[in-house]
Amino acid sequence: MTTPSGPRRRLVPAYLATQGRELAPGRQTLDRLSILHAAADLPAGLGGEHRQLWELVRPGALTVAEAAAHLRLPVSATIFIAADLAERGALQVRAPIPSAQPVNRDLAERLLSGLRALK
Amino acid sequence: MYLPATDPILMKLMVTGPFGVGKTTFVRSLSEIPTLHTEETMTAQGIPVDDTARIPGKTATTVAVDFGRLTLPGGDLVLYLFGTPGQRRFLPLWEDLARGALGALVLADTRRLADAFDAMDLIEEAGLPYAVAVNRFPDTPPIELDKIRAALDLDPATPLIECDAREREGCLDALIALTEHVLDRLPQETAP
Amino acid sequence: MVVIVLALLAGAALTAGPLLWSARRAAHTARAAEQRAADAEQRCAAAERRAADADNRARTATARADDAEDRAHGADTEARAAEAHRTVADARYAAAVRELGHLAHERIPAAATALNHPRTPVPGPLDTTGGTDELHHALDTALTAAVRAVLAERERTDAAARAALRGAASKIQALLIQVRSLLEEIQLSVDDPRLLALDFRNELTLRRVQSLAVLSGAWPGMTREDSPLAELCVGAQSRVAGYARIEITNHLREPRLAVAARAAEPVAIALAEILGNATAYSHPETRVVVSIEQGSAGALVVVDDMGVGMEPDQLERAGDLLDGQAEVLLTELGDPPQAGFAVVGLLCRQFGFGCRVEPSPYGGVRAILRLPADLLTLTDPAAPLSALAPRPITQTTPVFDAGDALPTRKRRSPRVPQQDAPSPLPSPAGSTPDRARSAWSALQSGTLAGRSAAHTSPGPEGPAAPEGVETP
Repeated sequence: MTTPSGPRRRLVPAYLATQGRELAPGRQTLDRLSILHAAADLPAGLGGEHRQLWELVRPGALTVAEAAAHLRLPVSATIFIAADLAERGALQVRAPIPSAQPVNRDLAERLLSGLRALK
Repeated sequence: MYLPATDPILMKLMVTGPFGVGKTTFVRSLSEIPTLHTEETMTAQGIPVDDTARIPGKTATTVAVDFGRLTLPGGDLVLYLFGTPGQRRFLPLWEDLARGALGALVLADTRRLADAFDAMDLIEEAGLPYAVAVNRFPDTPPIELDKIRAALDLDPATPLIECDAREREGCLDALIALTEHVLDRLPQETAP
Repeated sequence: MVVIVLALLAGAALTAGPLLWSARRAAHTARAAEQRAADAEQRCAAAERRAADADNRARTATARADDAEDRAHGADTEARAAEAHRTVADARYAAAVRELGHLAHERIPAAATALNHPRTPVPGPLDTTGGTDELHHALDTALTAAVRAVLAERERTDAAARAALRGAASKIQALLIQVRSLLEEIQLSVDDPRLLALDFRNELTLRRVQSLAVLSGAWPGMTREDSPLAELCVGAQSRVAGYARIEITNHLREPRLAVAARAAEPVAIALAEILGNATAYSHPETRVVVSIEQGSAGALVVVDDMGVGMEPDQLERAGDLLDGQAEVLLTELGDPPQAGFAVVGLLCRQFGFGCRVEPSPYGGVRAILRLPADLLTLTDPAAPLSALAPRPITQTTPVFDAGDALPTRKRRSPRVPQQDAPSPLPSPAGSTPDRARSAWSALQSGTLAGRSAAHTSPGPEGPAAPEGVETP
């Protein structure tokens, strides 16, 4: 058996997740650190990649960036899938906390003591 | 793998520096999840694509954003470490990722110190507090931190640490030094 | 006359006897008379001679006249014959001119058209009875020579065009593949969705260039590894403008079923052309239904559209192109579907798969891509399928185990044979047709526990419900 050389060349492009749309649906803006968690049953009519993302975040929450890495898709494509699910109520999306809150001393102090506790 | 169910606060630190400086190793040493990176799906740019040429192994540079996660004891604080290339051509990426970041750790290799300049410029322009960690490679000559501090024109307050990106302890120390510096730079909360 | 003269003389002597002088005078007169008689005789003889002479001449003239008359008669006959001959010749000449005109204006153009459109009737000579065999033979020779010249010129022009196109298409193709790589890379770090839209446009462009490359005889696309059939189908889908209308249902029993490396990209290109036709020739609000099937002698990809379908002669022409038998010239391909079928046909012939079209039960066209067993293999189970590729609808294993064990990501193992882990499965990624075939037949015979081994065990919560089965 020969070992195929070189990187595996892309066969399935990520833009398929957009289903031809320019922008993800819904009013909620998702970014890398938006937190995703399955909220309800998977609505009928959504399968494939939607099912995979939904199954991925059914046991617990993940950031978009993590979910994307698990699905081996770019964040931009994962956002479309997540937005479809969120729009149908199958996914709970929480805004990323760091950008919602200004960095303050309290947080930095908690981080510092947490890091020291890890040692 | 999943986030704690306690609705943790997510915090973000950047780990940056030139290619091959050990960002991935650093993040991997600290992360509680398998370091997620997407480079395996990447192809090189400028690879020969003619009929017969087989690609002689992967020549791609790792542009992927490595990231790792560190849940702090108590479970209400989760730290994300983003390893990003520190070249100016990745500026859009940098700006995107650095938004809301607490600070940045610049990894440097003393054998090619100049490669880290770009990353430091970007961070300084972004106004982000940062620390510099010199990654000690097996063949690195003895490091004189003072000389490096001078060469990098570091502010006296900016931490400069030596570490081995493969060892968790030293990596944690680097993060602690960075966090202390972040804390120093934050205004004292004035009692009401 | 002599008698008359003598009698006159005797009469005169008798009456004038008494008179001597009268006698003398008479004698003198007689002498004179004799003289005159002699003269007269001479003149008479001369006249007689002249008469005889004239008579001769008259006879001669008569003979000559008779002769001339005869000759005139002959000439007349000849002239009439010549006239008749000329009329015939004129008629033939006119007929030949008409036939030449007919040849130039009707028969040769029709024969030239018939080279491209075999159903074009080519008229015969105008008058099959009037001309000579020679004429018809000559006309036919001219027609044949003209057709041969057209063919040769067409072939020469087309070869030149193909060569020019081949170079350009290869270059552009290489550049677009580089753009694809760059876009893919940037997408990992930049989250702007416009990058996805850009990637799609690039892929559409690449597909156009790839089909031109195939038609011009260039190497089709790029080298690939053994590629899962489900991914190839989705990959082909992504290259089509109306891809969101395409619904792919995966009926494979073996999710790892893959197309061998050498045919992977050609199959993707062919399928993209088939899907391109299906979407281009059906209403934008109808679906294009694709079913991936695992048969006993190979795999099938069945594509149905709900368009207006094709006329029997179009189907026949498409069939010829798909068989890879019909000669394909660039100059013939104005029509996108024909270009598409020509591309598919060329790839079928070169890489050993097959395609046919028939009326679809959905009302449009059904295209069936047949992949024989020797092009099929199994992929490495460690290499996960793309999240965007459809799972087999009979596969009940969830993609992520969803029990109390957290889903974990498996790091990709290097694609080298693992000597220390013998597997009852046929070796994946068969690199030779033989190996692929044996892998296939082992799978088909069902003697191996391949399928159970190929699946990861379901999580404690049990198998997830199968994906919704699309009933077309």
